[in-house]
Amino acid sequence: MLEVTDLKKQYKQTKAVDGVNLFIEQGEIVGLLGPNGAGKSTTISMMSSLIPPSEGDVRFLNESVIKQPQKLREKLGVVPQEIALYLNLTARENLQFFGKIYKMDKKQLGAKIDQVLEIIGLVDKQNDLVKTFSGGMKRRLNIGVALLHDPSLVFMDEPTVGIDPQSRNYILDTVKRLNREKNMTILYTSHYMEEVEYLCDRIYIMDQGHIIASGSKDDIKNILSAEQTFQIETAVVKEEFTNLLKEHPSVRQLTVQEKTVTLLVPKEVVFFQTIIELAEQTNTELKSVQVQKPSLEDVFLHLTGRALRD
Amino acid sequence: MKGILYAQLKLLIRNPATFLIMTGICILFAFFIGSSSGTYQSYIPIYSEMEEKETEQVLSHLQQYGAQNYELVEKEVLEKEVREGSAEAGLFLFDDHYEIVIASKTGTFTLLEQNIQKAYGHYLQEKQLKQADNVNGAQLIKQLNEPMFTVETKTFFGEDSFIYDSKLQAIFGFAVFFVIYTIAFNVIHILVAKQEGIWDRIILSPSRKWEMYVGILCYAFFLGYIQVVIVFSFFRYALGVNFYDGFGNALLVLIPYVLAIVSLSVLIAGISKTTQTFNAIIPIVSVSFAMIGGSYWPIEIVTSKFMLALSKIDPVTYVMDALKAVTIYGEPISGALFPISILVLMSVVMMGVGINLMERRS
Repeated sequence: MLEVTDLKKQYKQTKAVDGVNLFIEQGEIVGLLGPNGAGKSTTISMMSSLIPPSEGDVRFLNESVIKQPQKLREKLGVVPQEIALYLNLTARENLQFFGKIYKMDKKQLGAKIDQVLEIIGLVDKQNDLVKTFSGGMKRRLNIGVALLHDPSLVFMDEPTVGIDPQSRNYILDTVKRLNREKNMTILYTSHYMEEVEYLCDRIYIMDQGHIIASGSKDDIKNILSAEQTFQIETAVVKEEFTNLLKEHPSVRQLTVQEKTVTLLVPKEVVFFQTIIELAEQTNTELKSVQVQKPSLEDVFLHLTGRALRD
Repeated sequence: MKGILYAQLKLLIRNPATFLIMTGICILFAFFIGSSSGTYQSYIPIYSEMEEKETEQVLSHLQQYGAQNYELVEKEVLEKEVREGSAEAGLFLFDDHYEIVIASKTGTFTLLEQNIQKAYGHYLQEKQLKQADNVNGAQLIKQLNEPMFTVETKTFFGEDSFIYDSKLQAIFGFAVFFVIYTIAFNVIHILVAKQEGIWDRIILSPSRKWEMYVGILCYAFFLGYIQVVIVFSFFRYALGVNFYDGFGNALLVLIPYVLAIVSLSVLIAGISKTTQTFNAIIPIVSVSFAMIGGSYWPIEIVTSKFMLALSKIDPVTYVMDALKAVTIYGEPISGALFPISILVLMSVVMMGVGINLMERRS
């Protein structure tokens, strides 16, 4: 459905996006995961024809979006990261405004607005001014605007930033429902690992303008298939204990967060006993030791050496 | 474009206070300043060494031109009043010449100089005719006062003389000044839409970019125009202010001005990176333009060559010229074609540059 080839964007000396390749098939939810400043929003802006790339091409249904943006724009809904709404208009008036911008038929528009309000759960609040809405309600309306013209492809740029967990769950469920019931194709960017894990069929991990990993959730986690993760909780993390762990030939990676030490160790190594021994040796009081399956967070850490929200 | 107009109208209905307050303040300022200037006539003490009859002749000519309040006083009183500032200027009348005493050069001096020049000229002409032909002198003077036909030249570009109508000066001045704010604070919607991401959403819609610009700019134009029409109509129909039969033409002349201010606002929006910068620039520009262009006081009394040169790039100068031309000076629209053309030219240039700057930035 959509194919991105060697996309680059350079601002003077800064390479915001450097050679991104990706594709999206009809009916997929694809995640674009990366920390703040990774280049996700710039990539989405280029893909949606909002800004021209310095190099590369974006093809929608085999036609270049750079040369012919209109075809994509008719089928595309974009949920921007910021709340792009008129705060002094009501929810319904905002939808009416964007409906007119999309040149929708007047009769059709009324029914469509009712439908969208239903989807985003704002029927009761449709005549309230947007400025009186909570952050979550604004975010939902922000999504609603993008759904008004029945797009077959939707780009969502961090649509859950800064909202409460309840609203967040509502949005995530709405995205799932849209994909399931309307076969909507969705590109979802986020720096929340759990959102992408919950929603997406395939994932692209982006860092510093590059795609550093891609594939299905399992494909990506298999990057760490040869390893196992140990999460050790201690009463006090002693430097002596972590130094011994670091020096151990089986430990591939070690991170310390407050009282928790996380280790990556080859799968074939039986390491549980070693941890107990080293703790005893250094008089470290262990609270718990867990063997975990690798998460996307672990993959990101493994690939970049940094946590996703650093 | 319909969508843009829909949103702008909804926003106006939701919050009409800014528009109403701006229109109301404009009417209040024009009303109070226009009325107070209308009844105020600068006081000019006169000391005369001429015969009583001749003094009366000169005075009667002076009073024909109005605008100033003359009173015969003693020489010492005149000098004292000018020195102490209770009179802006004093006038000495002699048989063959006159002298003006001033503490500082103000508009009063310019007006007095014009009036006394005409009055004294008239008086001397009559006097010479009487002396030249004692028999037919009286008849000649009669003919001079009541000629078979008169050739009258009125000008609104002239440096030598001007007609001052304090009420119209205040109405025109404040209307063209306050409308700058009304227009600018609507053109700013382009910047707001860009900052808040609404503009990007519109770009991604089937609507064309020119439709968005036309939508917002048309709205700003009409709202600005409606405001000046309300202000002018209030004074014309509610207070019966005399527009010298040029009311309709005055409304026509405002069209290129309002357009020029829309373009000026676009230019400032193009220069400004943020709405905060725009909001900071607008008052500076509007107040300076009003001062330089003769919104607060008639440009004719400005003597600084630098200020006069600056006024040539100010749309307010041209609209004030054009408004005075079609009202006070009784010119038809064609008589104001020069300032109208300049305003149209300014509109085209500023709009072009402004949109170009905005597009480059985005």
